[in-house]
Amino acid sequence: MPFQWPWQYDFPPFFTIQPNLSSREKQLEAWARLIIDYCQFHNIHSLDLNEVAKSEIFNNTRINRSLNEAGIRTVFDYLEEKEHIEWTDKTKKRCRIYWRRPEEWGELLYEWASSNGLLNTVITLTDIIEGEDTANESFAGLEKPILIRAIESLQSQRRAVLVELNNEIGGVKFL
Amino acid sequence: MDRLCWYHPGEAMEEILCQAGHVGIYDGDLKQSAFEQGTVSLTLQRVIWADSSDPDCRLILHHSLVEKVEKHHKSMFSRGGKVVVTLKRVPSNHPQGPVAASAFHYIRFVFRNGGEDDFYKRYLEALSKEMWKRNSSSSSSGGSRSSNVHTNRLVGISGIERRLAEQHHKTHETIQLAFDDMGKLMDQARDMVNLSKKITETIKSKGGEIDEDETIQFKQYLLSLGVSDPVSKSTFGSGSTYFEKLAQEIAQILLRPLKEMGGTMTLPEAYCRVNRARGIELISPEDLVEACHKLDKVDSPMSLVTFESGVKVLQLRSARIEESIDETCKLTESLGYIDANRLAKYIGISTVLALQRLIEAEKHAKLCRDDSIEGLFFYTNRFLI
Repeated sequence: MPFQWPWQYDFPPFFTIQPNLSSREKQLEAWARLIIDYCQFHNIHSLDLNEVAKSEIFNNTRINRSLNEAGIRTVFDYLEEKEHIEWTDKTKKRCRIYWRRPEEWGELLYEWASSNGLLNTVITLTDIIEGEDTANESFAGLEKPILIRAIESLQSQRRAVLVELNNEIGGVKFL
Repeated sequence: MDRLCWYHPGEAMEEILCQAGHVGIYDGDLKQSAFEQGTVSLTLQRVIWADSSDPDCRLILHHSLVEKVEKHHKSMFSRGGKVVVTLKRVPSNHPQGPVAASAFHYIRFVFRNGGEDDFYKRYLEALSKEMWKRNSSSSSSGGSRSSNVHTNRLVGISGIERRLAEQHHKTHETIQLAFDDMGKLMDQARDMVNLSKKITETIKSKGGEIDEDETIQFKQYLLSLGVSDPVSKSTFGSGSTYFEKLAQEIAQILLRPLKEMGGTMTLPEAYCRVNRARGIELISPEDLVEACHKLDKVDSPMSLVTFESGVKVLQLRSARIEESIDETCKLTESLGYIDANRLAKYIGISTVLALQRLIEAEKHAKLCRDDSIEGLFFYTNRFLI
């Protein structure tokens, strides 16, 4: 099944950042939703701004419209503000994208662990990401730094502890 | 410069030794001269300079008045090569020239197109021959005759006659010039007469019935017939009374056009219409703006509105912004999208105003924009639906 583009994608004003503030808020919401959905659909966890600027997300050849660089920057600033992305370099050219915020992932992980009776046991991070048991879960294939961020958010609520294996963070114990 | 004298047609001409074009004569150090561009000719007796644009304007410098001649080379800043002629004192019987008295005792010939070298060389030769001395003693050649004319010019009856003739000639020229101006006026008047003839004929031929285009034209004509007693600064001074009276007049003139145009008019258009209505005693744009500021004070049915973009318009008080926005949105809805040109055409307003309306509607979040290389278009704001 191909990716389902939202209606805004074929609406020319979508590709002009709106000067009217209330219109702009709705527009940026739609952009954020589109980017997250797109990344989730294609299983993308990190983005390079230069590459994504050339991709079909920001270039609709059907209506011959594309979002310019300043517009893309505005959209990503919005994503950052909503904590959907995190810059991985100082020039803000590369970022990790969270389809869900770390807390949301943490919540999902905790639910999965408790429903599978895995509380109070140590599970390796590799098992969570690549294990056969989790192949059908939404967090399968999640990038390790994102996973750690998710567990850290649980840790701050005292619902999980990160465990060091072979001198690096390699496992988790859900409490 | 006061050593130069006029050349008179009919004077005997000697053999020309050398000639150069694009030469100006400058008095002493002065940078400006009435004799900027001419042809200079050298003979054994004198230097004759003829104005390029006026063949009747010719000047003479007789060799007997020359003290010495020097040549200055072109420098980076000067416009051409120069020959500087230092002159002797003015002789008592010297004929009148272009300049009655001069502070300088030398003049400069400026050669813009070159030729100064040749001229300088031959000038020195001619001076060294001192031909004028010999001629005046023999009194048989053209040179002496010409000098006789010089001395005779201003004395006796012939001098008076000559002056009278000159004056007559000048008066004649002035009158000629005046009639030229009249001629232009007549030409314009002819146009006006033709126009009025055309109008009369059209009305006659159609038996009083005229189509829409012509109605509009007639309206404009009638508008331009104007105001019988225009408010002017001379009657009301330049104080606030003047501007208030002017504001009243503007309100009176523009009320109907404003209603016809949907309640809004840009200032340039208002300016044109007001001045067209006045016909004479035109007002300046500044006065118009000033008067428009007084529109509120005189309780007129319109007022001056400044949009955020800085565009100033006259607007009827009855014309409400919401209504114009609704109208704009409905039109956009039915067309799918719209730009200022199209809106202007549909509603019959200027493009500037149309754009203003669109931006106003956008500000109220009714429309949203699509700004691409294809232009600035507006769509119904589906983001907020």
